[in-house]
Parts: sequence; C-alpha cells; structure tokens
Amino acid sequence: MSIVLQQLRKRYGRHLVVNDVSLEVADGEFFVLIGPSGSGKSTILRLVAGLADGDGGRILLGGRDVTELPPQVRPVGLVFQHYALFRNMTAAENIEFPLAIRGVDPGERRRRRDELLELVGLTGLAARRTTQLSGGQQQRVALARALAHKPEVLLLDEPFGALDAKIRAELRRTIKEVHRELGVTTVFVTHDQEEAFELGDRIGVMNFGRLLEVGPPHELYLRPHSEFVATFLGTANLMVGESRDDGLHLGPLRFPLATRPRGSFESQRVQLLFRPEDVAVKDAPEALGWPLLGEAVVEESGFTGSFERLRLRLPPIPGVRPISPPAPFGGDYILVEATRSQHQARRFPLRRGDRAWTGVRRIHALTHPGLSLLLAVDGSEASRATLAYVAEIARPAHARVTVIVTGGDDAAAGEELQRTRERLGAGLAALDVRRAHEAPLAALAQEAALRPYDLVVHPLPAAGRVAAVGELLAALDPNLLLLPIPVPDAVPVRTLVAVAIEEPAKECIQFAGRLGRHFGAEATLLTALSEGAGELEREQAERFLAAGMRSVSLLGVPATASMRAGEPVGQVLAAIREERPELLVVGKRLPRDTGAAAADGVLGELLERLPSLPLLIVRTEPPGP
Amino acid sequence: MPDRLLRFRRPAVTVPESGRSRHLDEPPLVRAALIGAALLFLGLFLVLPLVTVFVEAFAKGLGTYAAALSDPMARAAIRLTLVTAAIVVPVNLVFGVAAAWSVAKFDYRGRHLLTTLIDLPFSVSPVVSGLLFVLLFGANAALGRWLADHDLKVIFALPGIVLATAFVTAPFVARELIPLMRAQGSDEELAALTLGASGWQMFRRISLPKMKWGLLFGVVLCNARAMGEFGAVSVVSGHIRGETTTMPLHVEILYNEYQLAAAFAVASLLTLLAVVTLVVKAVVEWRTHE
Repeated sequence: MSIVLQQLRKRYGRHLVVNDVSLEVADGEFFVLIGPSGSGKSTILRLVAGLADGDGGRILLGGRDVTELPPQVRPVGLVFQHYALFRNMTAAENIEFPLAIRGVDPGERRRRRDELLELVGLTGLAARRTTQLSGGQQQRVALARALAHKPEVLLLDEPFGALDAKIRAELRRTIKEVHRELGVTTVFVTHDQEEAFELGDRIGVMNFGRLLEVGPPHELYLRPHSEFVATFLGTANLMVGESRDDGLHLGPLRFPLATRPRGSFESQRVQLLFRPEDVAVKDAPEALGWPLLGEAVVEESGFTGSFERLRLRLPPIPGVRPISPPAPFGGDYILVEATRSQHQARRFPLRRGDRAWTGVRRIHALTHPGLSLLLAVDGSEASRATLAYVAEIARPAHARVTVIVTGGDDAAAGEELQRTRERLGAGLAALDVRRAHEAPLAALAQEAALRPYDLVVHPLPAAGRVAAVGELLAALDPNLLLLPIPVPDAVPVRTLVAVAIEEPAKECIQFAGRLGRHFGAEATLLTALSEGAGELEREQAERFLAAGMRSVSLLGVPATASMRAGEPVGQVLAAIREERPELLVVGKRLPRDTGAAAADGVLGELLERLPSLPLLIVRTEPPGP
Repeated sequence: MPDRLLRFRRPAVTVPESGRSRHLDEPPLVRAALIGAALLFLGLFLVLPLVTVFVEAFAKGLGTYAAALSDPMARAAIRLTLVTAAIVVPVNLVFGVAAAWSVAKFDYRGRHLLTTLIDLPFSVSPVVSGLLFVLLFGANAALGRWLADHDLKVIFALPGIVLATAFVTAPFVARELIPLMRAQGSDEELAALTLGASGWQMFRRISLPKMKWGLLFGVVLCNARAMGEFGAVSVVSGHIRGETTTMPLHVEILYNEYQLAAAFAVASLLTLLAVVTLVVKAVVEWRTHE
C-alpha cells in the first residue's frame, strides 16, 4: 500500500474538519477525493504532505510511518490549486528546484527537466518566466516540478479549479497520460464529479470531515449506500418506497430484490434510487416495456448538447414519498428527472406541458450502515432544542435521521415539517421527516417497530421522571438519549460511562464508543465497588476496566478508567460533580417487545437525583431463561 | 492579469488602454482643471523649494559650496550621519523582516496588537521619542546613573543618537513588507518545503527574492529617514559641534549663524538623498509591475 491513513483526525477549535478518516490507496492507484467545499478533502492532502499537523491517527507512506516527519522528508509531490510556482524563476528553474536542493549535478538536472517538460507537453518553453505562461501552462509546470524528485505519491489539490472548461479537459488528458507513463500513486482532490468519474480508479466521497463511501466510480454512481452520496454524485431520483419479501416496491412498481436491506422486518421503508437515464419516456404505456410509474406532464425540457433533460411531474403515488428532487412546499405531486439521447428526443419530441408515459428501467435500494436516530417534534421549544442537538450529533456521525412531526393542526405541522428539513439540511446519510397524527410516544413506537433504530432522542421530563422514562422504555426498543431542558448546544465530548450501574457494561461501553468516535469524544469509564469489596473483586473490576478501555480506544475514543468505593449512585453523582461530563452513559438490562420495562432499581434512583445532563440509556436483553 | 495573458497568447491583438465608454470620462474642461490644479500645487510646494535649495547652495559659486562641505565640522556631521545610518539601517532591516514575517505569516492571539505596536513610532512625535530616551538614560534616571558610573555615555553621544534614530525609523521596512507578504501568501514557501527545501533554503531562495523589491524600498525609506531625522536626534544629541551634530542639526546651526550658503550646501546633500529615494521608488514600482 502506498498510502495508509489510520483514523486520521484534525480539529479547528471544537470543529472536526477531518473526522476519523481511514483509507488505503494501492501502489499506482489513481484515487479521487471528492466532496463539497469545506468537507475536509484538502486538509487530508495537507496532512499527508506534512503541511498540517493532525490531532490523531497515523499516516503511512510506502509502509513507513511519516506521521511525525516534516514535509521535506516525506516522499510526496504536491500540486496546488493556484500553482504556487516560484515567480522569480523560469519554468526550467522551477522544475529543477527540487533537484538543485538535493545537489543533483547540472547536466543530470537538465536531462530530467527536459524529460519532464516533454511529458507535460511544454517542450520549448523552458526559458519562459512563469508570468509569461498561461494558467494551464503554469499548472503543467507545477505538475512537472512536483514529479521532478520522483516522489512515491503525487497529491493534486483541486489543480484545475482556476481554469476554464476547455483547458481543464486538456489537462485532464495530460494527467491521465502522466499517470499511465509513470504509474505514480496519485490522490486527486476535486469537487467536480465529471473529473472524479473520468480520472479515478476509485473515488472517496467526503462530507463534514468524514470519508463516507469509497469505491469505483460506477459502483458509487449505481449503488451508493447513503442519500448524500446518491445526490452528490450525479442527478438522483430518490424516493421512499418499501422493501418486502418479494422485492422493492415503489408505488405500483415492483423490482425483484438483489440484496436484502439490513434488518429482518417483514416490510420496511427504504430509500430507492433511480438515475435520470433509467427513466423511460414513451407516448403509450404499452410501448414502454418497463415497470410503469404513471402518466407525467413535462415541467421543463432543456437542451444540454449531447442529450436532453426532462423534468417530469407525476401525480402522487400512494406509499411513495419523494426526497430528491424535493417536492416544492405545498405541492402534492412527484417530480422526476429524466434524460434522453438526442436521437430519442427527435423521435418523440416533448415540450413543456406535453404528456408522456413514464417508466423506470432499474432501481437501487440504499443501505446505510451507520447510526440511525429517531425523534419526534411537536413545535414546542423543548422539541426544537432537541432537534438542534440531534442536528449537531447527526452531522458528524453521518447518521440516518427520522423526524416525526406530531400535534398541532395540519397547517402548523406542515410549516414545522418544512422548518425541520431546513434546520437539519444536507449532509445527513438520510433525512426522513414525516407527519403523524398519533400522540408522540405512539408515533415513535410505531416507527421504531417499522425500521431498526440505534437511538431515540427525547427531552428528559422535568417532573415524574421515573414514571415517564419507564413509559419510554416500555414503548421503545432502541437505546434512549434523554436531553435535559434547557438542551445543551454543543456535541458531547467528555463522556462518563457508568459501568457500575448494572451488568450489561460491555454493550454500554461499546455503544458509547460507537457514538463518541464521531465527534472526537473522550470517555471515562467509572465503576463503583462496595466499601467491603475484597481483593478479588477489585482485581476483576480492574481487568474489566482495562478491557473496556482497549475496546473504546480501538474505536478511536481515548479513555481513562476510574474506580471508586461506595454506593453506586452517590459515586456517579460525585464523579459528575468533579469531572463535569457532557454525557452520562448507563446500561439497563430490559426485555424487548414485552412492554414489561420500568426505570426501576439503580436507574430509577439515578433519574431522581440526576443534575441537568444528557443521559444515554443503553439497553440489552437479559440472558435467556 | 487576464489582459497580459491575452496579449501573450495572441500578440496580434492589441488591448485598448481603457475599455470604458467615453461617456464615463469627465468633460475635457474638468479634466484640464483637475490636472492643472495638481500640477500647480506640486510646482509651488515641491518643485520650487527643491530648486531653491540647489540655487541657494550654488549662489556664491562652486568654491563656497566645496568649502562648506569640506569644513571639518561639516565633515564630522556627514561622518556621524553615515555611521548612524550604517548601524540603524541593518538593525531595522532584520527587525522589519522578522516583524513582518511574524505578523503576516502566523496567526495567533495579539497579532493585531503587534501590528499596531510596530506603527507606534509613527504616531509619537519625534521630539517625544527623543525625550523618552533622555528620561530613560539621562543623568536623572537610575539606568543613566548606573551607566555613568560604568563610564558609559548614551545621551549626548553616538549610542543615544543611534537609539533615537532606530526607534523613529523602526516601522519602515515592516510596513512595506506586511501588505506585500499578505498579498503574496505562503503557497510558494509551502511548495518549496514539500519539494525538500530546508527552512533556510526556503527563505533564501523563495521568500527573499519574492520580497526583494519591497524590502529594497523599505530600506531606502528607512535610510532616508535615518539620515534626515531631526526631532528625536536633536533632543538626545546635545548639539556638541563636531561631535554629536548630524547633518540636519548641522544645517540648523549654520542657518542660525546666518551662513546661508553653507547651510544650503549641506542641505543640498540631504535633498539629493530625497531625489535618489524617489528614483529608487520609481524603479521599484516599475519592476514590481513588470
């Protein structure tokens, strides 16, 4: 492996710009990092080149750990977006610079420089000053210069960002040729998907500092896992449909199932993706030959050169909810993007307002492996604050979020729906905002029974906590994150995991690690021994804490252990006073699906005395009978 | 920049001086009035005095001029001025580069405060700056007494003159370099590092050539002021003729003694320095636009 990144992390203030990124790039591979601006892709290049210091993780180049090495000794060539040519030198002197620094003799320098100039197509321009070169030529010189000292790894940071379309296409070809010729391992950063598709052997998609998905271009385009990747790479028609035993259902359409989404639910909602070129448009339904979506009205048609773009408007389909393109506020129809070849467009011309039968050739169900969160909002201050908190933790975690809007009349709920979408915005693996007419708890329970969730987020009731939390535990299977009012406004970094409370400590520690790794959390594992505990018990607890620390650290969450003597609840409260954690994690052994759960025992006592602090209850099933 | 590229790639195309519509230009009368006013002002307040200096200097013939400059007192003043500048300019060159680098290239708390502090000597009256050193090193101050006990003379001697001059001229180099460094950015330096250059190689081969014109101009300005500084030096020098009088002080003494031709002769040397400064400035601006 030429490049290995292990749990790389970079922080500016509280903000993680590179969040737990692990990646391997093979020898001679052309790897493209793509993402919106500010997603951390350029920072990764700077970390690899040694121009920025990471806050965690390791970087290996050619099998050698270079994490602590200065940029000069890393086997790297870097090409900057704005060329960064030495303005006081000619093109030739620029290219010879890394060789002159290394004391290579002038004859050899000239030979290598001419070779490189030829490679990048600049023969004859050696004597030009950099200011006498066009933008494209300058970037060619920069490329030659970055290759002069024969680096093992070539890094390109949006190299075509400042150039016009035609020059970009020429340079793309040059870079491809150079890569073919030299076979140097290359990492190319861009926000242009066309560039990514054309150049990359593999592509990695980044957002909010996380490397979301990695794969060959066609794989990411046709079979993405998450909503963000599906909509960021290319145009997507993304709808919520249903997955059943007999296949994927999108309204009246049924597609046989290739891979089964996660979970063992009889029928569950899934996000279904089809690309514009998978949409077939004909003048009669029998002419289609593909599963039929319905008769559409042409909203827009546009000429783009090699093909035609159509935006089609379909009447609502029962059981189908569009995600992308989004339905305009108040509209109850479904929009579908389609493309046709010019040949097809000539045979069946369509203008705005025309009608056409629409079918879908191929469909793909998204399967998101990350965290999934569920919450209900009812327009109250507390629920809005909860939503804001969920947005803070869901974005870095790239989580799938479902929000259920309850209460109020339909107009108010509609407004709340819209506002919720805006507030959570883009960048989540998936966002599902729905209206329910049931009471919040019933609506949550219904949703949790339909799809698997890792976490339900809920405000912590001010009074009657034990009974209220008992009700939540009885109704909902997932783990429970309870937020105090007022809700804290930052992601929890300092986490206290109280493993003293009850037995299911392992699950509790692991889940705390799974959650905390997304926002650079650090954990303290706390256990309380009774005053009269013997040497044996103490040793056992120590061994257990050490194992817990290992498994949390493995997830990238630094952990410390703390052992206290005394009654458990009192010790947890004392630890909260001393260490001021931003999240308390406790475990609770509860039977699922029986409704027989209560916030009793130590948890009940803790709830009654808990100060204003988010509380995560990780539940596990009791051992079988 | 785009204009130049265009010209480079298609030499046949001539780019018009100004692409603006003639409707956007001022009427000829207004234009003539504005230019006339500017020229009149320049002539009255700048060129005329400049010419007067040289006219007066040579009023009594070349012989008097030469005699005024070869007078031992005048030669001592010229020597003192040159010695002061020779010490002050290199010191402020190093200080200016270091200060500009620390302000323009790093981001830290108090960076803006440092920028303001660098400008401090400009906002203090030179006389006050001079007084400051008298108060610090004078016979009435503890430090001054201690120095006197060890037979070290600061005030009314070369060290005091150098200190006061250095203080007054400290901002020149840094002020030239800070905006230049900000505009140029650090990409080239970073590129040099990734290409294997050490910190010193990067500075010598990339940073220094990048800033050389700005640096040269800063040095010229600094030098002009170091030689021409009157207020601060006047306070700390004590006006001991032949020992602690610099050229500007010598001009004042001659003038007060009604030796007008001699005064103007020495003054013409200082004026010549101003002309040289202007020429260098023009060359630097021409080179940087190149």
